[in-house]
Amino acid sequence: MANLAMLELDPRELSAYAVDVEELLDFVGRIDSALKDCSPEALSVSHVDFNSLRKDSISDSLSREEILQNVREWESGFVKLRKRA
Amino acid sequence: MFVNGKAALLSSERERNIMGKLFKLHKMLINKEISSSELTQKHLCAIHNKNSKLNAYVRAYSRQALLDAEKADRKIASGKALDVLVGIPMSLKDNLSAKGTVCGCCSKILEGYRSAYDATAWSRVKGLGGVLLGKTNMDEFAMGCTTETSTFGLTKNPHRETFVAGGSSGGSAAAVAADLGVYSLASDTGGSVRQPAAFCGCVGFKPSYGAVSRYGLISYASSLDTVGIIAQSAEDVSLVFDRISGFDPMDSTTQPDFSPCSFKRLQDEVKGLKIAVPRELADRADGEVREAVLRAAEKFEKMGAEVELISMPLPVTALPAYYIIACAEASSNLGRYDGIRYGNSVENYDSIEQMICKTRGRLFGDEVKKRILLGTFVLSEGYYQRYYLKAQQLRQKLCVELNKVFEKFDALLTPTSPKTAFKIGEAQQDRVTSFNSDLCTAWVNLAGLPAVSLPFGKDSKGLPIGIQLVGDKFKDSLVLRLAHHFQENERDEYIKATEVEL
Repeated sequence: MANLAMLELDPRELSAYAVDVEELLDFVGRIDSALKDCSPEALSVSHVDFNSLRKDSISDSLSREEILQNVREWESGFVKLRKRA
Repeated sequence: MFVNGKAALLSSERERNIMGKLFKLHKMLINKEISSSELTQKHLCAIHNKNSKLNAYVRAYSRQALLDAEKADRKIASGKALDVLVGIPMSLKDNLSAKGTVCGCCSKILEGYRSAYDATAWSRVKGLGGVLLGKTNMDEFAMGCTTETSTFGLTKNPHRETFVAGGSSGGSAAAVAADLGVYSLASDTGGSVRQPAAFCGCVGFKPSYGAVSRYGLISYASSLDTVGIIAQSAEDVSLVFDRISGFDPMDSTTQPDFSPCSFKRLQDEVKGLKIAVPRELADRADGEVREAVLRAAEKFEKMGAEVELISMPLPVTALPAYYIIACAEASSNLGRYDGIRYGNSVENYDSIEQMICKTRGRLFGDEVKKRILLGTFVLSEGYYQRYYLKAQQLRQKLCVELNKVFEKFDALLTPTSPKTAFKIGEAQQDRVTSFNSDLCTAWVNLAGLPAVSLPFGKDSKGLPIGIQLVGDKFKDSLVLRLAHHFQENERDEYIKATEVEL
């Protein structure tokens, strides 16, 4: 799961998180009891009943320079990364 | 420290000022009894004196704040029609963008990240002449209920320094409670505005989802995130809310044509309004909190409202759905932190993939990593239907049930948090305490409803108790009206809950 989430964890973290995430899963697993006696009709409607789609409108956006101001290194408008340390 | 002796006037009139403080300060500014520069200086000095103890602010912008205050003074001197927010010093939670300033979500991974644009809520305040004092402390990426997960360390409760200020917007609530800013803009994903407001004896308002633009708010769980307000009175909250709410083309979830005008409606009658008290939420609160809610119900009855105790178990059983949805959305939203485009990154790596994994593994805090893991798990093949889909179904069920409740009632009255403020370290030791902290608030975010937390007396430990009023979707004005009338009727209890130790 850590690989899937792109998180490098050390062995201490792996064992500690396994316990905590297990506890979290036990907790969220209670969802089954909450859904008991629930008709399919009650569950079929989207909860988002006000978010209608709107037409796209083209407008000015941030410049490339503004977007890149938080990048550590960049050149000619591209992010620069070292291949190896 | 106060300038020209005028601050003495401010502090001696504290009791009078906290009720409708914004309007009173505005009048003082217009009548030239105090200038915005003096007011800003006063707040900056208070931050300088108290912040080392409280840790409410993570950054103060003294120079820029004074420049903005001077600008506001020039506006005031011009005698043009001025907005009530002009020259008023305030703060932003560290996950709301203000162009050119660091917006780090109190995380190592965003250390040094400077916002390239203003959040809409802040941009509207700035446009009206608001003065930004600084950024306030929060749980890392708003994940937590105590501010203990902040990379800057926890915020202490201004009422008792051995207790937490709550979270995730603990810095904002402590700042308002300790007079280190008139109001604060913060975010509420599962109670992050209301719970710290309750712990610190402030008013915390979470608007309806879609009432205030989320543009420029760093995302945690996009379907739950809301920009909220912490202030000392419902009147102040209403004045700010009217100015920051409304349609924004930069956020497609904002509601077209929503214009609450809540301030105009604050004085409207509450007589005849129907309020329900869900028994399951009141019964899960500590004795003193439960007693306060029932006492508040009696007060509302005396004010002419019709109050009824009802059974509504779903908000309690829906708490796991909140955690599933919030963590699933967080795992997706936080996927953008790869150390390449912005923020911090590690130095030594063998490949781009390793750089990303190392950066995320080393620079995210424990709580964030656990929630990303849980979110990744519930969205993974084989578990999506077992968890995520069921959570969405439960969310739907909750919305359907709440629609029925609001056909009969105008508002719900509940505790804001089952307990008053935790002792420092208590919630970190006991995860159940931490989960249950969101019990009375998270369901409100699942349904996108407006809710306000009000201080109502203190418990035997001297900590403020918060009560919560919840309204139907886009009935924000009604919720604020009820809150305002309650505060006006219960001035003594209210003032008692706002007296701070630090």
